[in-house]
Amino acid sequence: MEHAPEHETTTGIDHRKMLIWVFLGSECMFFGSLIATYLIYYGQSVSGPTPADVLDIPTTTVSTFVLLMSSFSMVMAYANIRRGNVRNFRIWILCTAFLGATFLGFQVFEFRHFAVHGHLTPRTNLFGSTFFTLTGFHGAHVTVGVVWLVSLFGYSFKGDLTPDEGLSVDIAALYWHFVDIVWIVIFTAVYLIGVFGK
Amino acid sequence: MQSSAHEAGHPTPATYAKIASILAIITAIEFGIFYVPDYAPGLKSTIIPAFVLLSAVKFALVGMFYMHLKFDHRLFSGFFVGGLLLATTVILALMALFAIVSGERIVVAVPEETTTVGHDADTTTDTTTGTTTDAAMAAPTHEIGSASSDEFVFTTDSMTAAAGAEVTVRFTNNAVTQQHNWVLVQDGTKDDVATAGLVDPVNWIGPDDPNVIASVNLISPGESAQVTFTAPEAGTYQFVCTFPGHNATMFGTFEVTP
Repeated sequence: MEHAPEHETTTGIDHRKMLIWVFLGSECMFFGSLIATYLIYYGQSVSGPTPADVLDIPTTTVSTFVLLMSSFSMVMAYANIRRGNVRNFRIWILCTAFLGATFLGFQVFEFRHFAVHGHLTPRTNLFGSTFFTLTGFHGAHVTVGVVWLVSLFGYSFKGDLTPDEGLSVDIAALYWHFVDIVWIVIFTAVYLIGVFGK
Repeated sequence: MQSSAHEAGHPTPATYAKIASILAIITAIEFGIFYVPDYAPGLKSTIIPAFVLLSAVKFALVGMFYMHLKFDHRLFSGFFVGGLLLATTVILALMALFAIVSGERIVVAVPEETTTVGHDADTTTDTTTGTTTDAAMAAPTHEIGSASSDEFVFTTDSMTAAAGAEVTVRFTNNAVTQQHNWVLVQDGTKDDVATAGLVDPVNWIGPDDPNVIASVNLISPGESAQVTFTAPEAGTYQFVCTFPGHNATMFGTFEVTP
């Protein structure tokens, strides 16, 4: 993988790393607008179900824990690639992808449970529309992240991921951690406060 | 790769593990706090601020240590915090704006009485602005409106009438910017009627749609209009706003009693 040498940038910072941070800054506004929409319409539905009727805090606490731990395994993968330990990198990156996929499994279970047993779909009421839009877009981001992580695992067998080329892992890690912190906000605003403020 | 000095101070795996432990503990605390009011109702008012604070701590820990903002180039923090502040401002501004515009929702109750004046008058639509016709005033009028905010809902989700009765429905658009209509349709056909109405970008009601029983044409915010029609045979019907997209949430049940 050919990377631009440091002296070729005016800031001394790799363009790709600059780009991912600009992208994450714009993603803040993207999710900010979705969270704002959810909060604006919170409690405005004229018919049920409400957050307190369907959201299950114990289950979501577990899925939140899974996603938080995936961030830990991601930094461990990054730490290992920086040290040149590709074998351990592969273990941690697969662990991260597995935890991400587990989180998605929780989300699929939750969505299906809401639709079948909670009678909540995006068309049911304002809560359903805003909830599924927000968490659905987050789930889509996690899905992209899992594909990205598995791709990095595959690249590691081509010899592309040397310690000096660890920027590819760094960028993927930043994206993954961003997805994690977005969920930290969603878990608090939508689930904890959403149910508690009933 | 930028093996520059700003990356040299990255945390060790031991630090990463400590942060993970703290994150797990905070999540467990959040879970525990959720049930505190069950045992200490007096603390209820402090729960939401506690949630926000703990969430902010988790957010900061991941950002500073896992995303390396504490150690990386400050330009990265600028990009991220800049986007974050802008997003927070947008959230607070929108919430303040909607709180001001929406105000108190005006809910107009649907009168319980139904008319029993039965004659075979044809279904007619009379769209006016803030006025009613003499003929319409002759029969009890069912009042219904749209939400006072731009929320896509009616002020009620159920109406009733007696089969064969002359019914007048007066619809008021209480919204701020949205146009709405009121369309009585066969049960379970609200979405089909809305789809068929796409051919009519003026009123959003399909011509000669067999599922449409009566309708108040599209009106703008602040306007009222009404329709007088003979209630169909006993059964369940639906009323809906067929403006594209509104039918998903803006509908209700119209029960016709024997």
